[in-house]
Amino acid sequence: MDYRDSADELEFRHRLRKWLVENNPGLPAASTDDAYWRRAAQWHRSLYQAGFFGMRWPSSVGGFDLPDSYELIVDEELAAAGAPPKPGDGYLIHALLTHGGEELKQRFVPGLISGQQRWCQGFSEPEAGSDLASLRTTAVVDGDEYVIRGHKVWTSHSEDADWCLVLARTEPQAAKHKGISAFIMDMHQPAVQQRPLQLMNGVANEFGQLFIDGARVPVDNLVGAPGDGWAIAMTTLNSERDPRSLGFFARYRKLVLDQVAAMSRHGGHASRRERENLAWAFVQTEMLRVHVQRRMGERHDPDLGVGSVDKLLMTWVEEAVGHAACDLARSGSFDGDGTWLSSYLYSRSQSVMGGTSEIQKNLIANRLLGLGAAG
Amino acid sequence: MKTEFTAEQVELTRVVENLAQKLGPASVDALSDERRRAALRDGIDAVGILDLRNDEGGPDVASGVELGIVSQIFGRHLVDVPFLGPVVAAETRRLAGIGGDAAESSTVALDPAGRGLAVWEPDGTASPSMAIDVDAGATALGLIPSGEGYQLAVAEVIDIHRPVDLTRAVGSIPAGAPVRPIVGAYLSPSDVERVSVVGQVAVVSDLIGAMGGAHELATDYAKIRKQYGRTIGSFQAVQHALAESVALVEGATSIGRYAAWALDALENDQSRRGAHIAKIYTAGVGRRVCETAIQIHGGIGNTWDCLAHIYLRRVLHSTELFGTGEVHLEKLAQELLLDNTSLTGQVGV
Repeated sequence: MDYRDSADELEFRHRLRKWLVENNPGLPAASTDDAYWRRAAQWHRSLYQAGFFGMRWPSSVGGFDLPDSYELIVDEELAAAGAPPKPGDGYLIHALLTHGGEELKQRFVPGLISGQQRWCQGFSEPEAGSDLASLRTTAVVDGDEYVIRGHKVWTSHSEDADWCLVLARTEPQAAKHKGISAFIMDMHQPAVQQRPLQLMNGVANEFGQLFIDGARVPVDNLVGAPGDGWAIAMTTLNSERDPRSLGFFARYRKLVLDQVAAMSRHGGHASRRERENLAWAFVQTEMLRVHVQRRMGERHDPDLGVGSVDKLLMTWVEEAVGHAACDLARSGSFDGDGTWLSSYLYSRSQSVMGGTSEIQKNLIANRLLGLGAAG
Repeated sequence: MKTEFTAEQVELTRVVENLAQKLGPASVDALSDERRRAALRDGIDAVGILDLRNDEGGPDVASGVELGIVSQIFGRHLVDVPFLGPVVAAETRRLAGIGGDAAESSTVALDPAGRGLAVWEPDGTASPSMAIDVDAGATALGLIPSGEGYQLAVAEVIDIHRPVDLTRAVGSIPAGAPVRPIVGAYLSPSDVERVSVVGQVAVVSDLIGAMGGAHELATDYAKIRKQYGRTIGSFQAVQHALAESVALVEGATSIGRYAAWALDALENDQSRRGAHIAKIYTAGVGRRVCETAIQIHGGIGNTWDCLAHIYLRRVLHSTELFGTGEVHLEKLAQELLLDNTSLTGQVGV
């Protein structure tokens, strides 16, 4: 057991550290400012071109075939440099690699990894939130195309996406979880309209909803077979809970570093409770860092609910960091531009996105603890 | 970066787990079974666990990872023969350059608040202090100020009792009791801090084991206890409470394992930081997990006969040893604000 870098890992770390001196775009933390989302695509491409994104994906689709540890090194170094986190597209990549045919992988995954093409995920609907399998969007075959109709919400990055991984019902008569299929839908067609949803902290570039009224998708863009949609959704959501994919550690650590700097500048004004809340946020981010490292050395059946444990832990880190931000926001001298209030308000979303904390607890109880479905 | 256990560590886990599961107290009544306790003590002696970090016990001193493995399993199975005391005493002797001979001093004495090694009077008498994890006839190591550092000394332990933790006894060294300086055994202030860090790693792992044990007890109970014609574990309110405990135990396990590894692998200030952070986290979540376990048991959970309070008591005692979470949190806050470059100093290399 050795948590330290191997010689290769260390060389990679130093190369990235050096690159960041010149190439850190100096953006605010994601999710607290529209400036981040306006330049997220550029940041993704710049990271990829320099060889610092897509570390763990196969080289056959544009990745670097490296162990998971390289993902964490990227997170650590981005955080240490105060750079924005890496793009959080790992869950889509994982889903396409797991369920897509060879031709489909070759067609879509390289652009997704390189950031040349932007993606969003069309899962949730107004009447299908936690109960995702009750979704009503339909896809009907018409020649060599499917025609899709429905309404999707909570769609991150809908505004600048080129493609959408969309779930739609292909067999209305089948059982709830069986008649769903997954498609790769071109966002650039008149039948797909997107409207931003403004988050409570004011950010408008991150989040949106889709109105799909007769969008056409070639049958070649079906992921897996008809009816595989639910399995694909579960793969996607499981890896959406994976701290490796998300790079959230980097975001939290950057926020804590910025909080420490803000409080240090006004050190005399911080109460003991405020100092301790900040130290607790640091402890939580450090827990997440070493937790991700520990998970790298383990192999788990993804259906066992271990991902839900990680998601809950990640949510509690976000909450601790958010509460420390709230302390700074309440004290006017720390928050001239409202950054900390924005950061705090955004932190409330982590216990909802990617499956609510309540859903995660159901999964842990049923799958990991074997307590049986609640009646 | 390799964070999995080695084959030897997996084997150590298996051997110690077998022993502790077989001979640890499986019920509150079993705590007073002296035959079981004697067999457990013999089993621990036979495996040589107390010599883990004693350089006269074998060719190599085991690393913090092995210390963490054993401590966690002992916490999980409520092992009620001394381990923490002898291990920290061995570390203290090793740093003072006097090696083994556990008969000389079976444990350590801490200041009354339990933060670190007791510092006694230069005239060779004790100030009030607490010997941890003791058995009958224990003697405890403490410090006498000497120049820039300390001389090691040993004192008789009296008044052996179990005020909080029913699995590990404490004893007293009263004010004015004579203490015997050990010739040639000196510790620097950084050695003394090192002893505390080793103690922290051991109690953190113990906390993780004990909270995990409480959680498993409650989960097993939720699967058999029926109300309204179904097991209580099928109710969502119960499920969510237990699911939260799973995540807390997992987070604690990760942070404790890193601290155990860092103990010997990283420089002193980094291993110290790792241990502090682990103590803050585990102390913060340990009591909560045990309280959930008591709640899941309902009425029976509030009785003497339910093992849940034995876990809680063990967690409360471990939380107090080698600095509480609050002490370390305040210290960490001060360090971060004084020197925020230390935030980034621990990654890589």
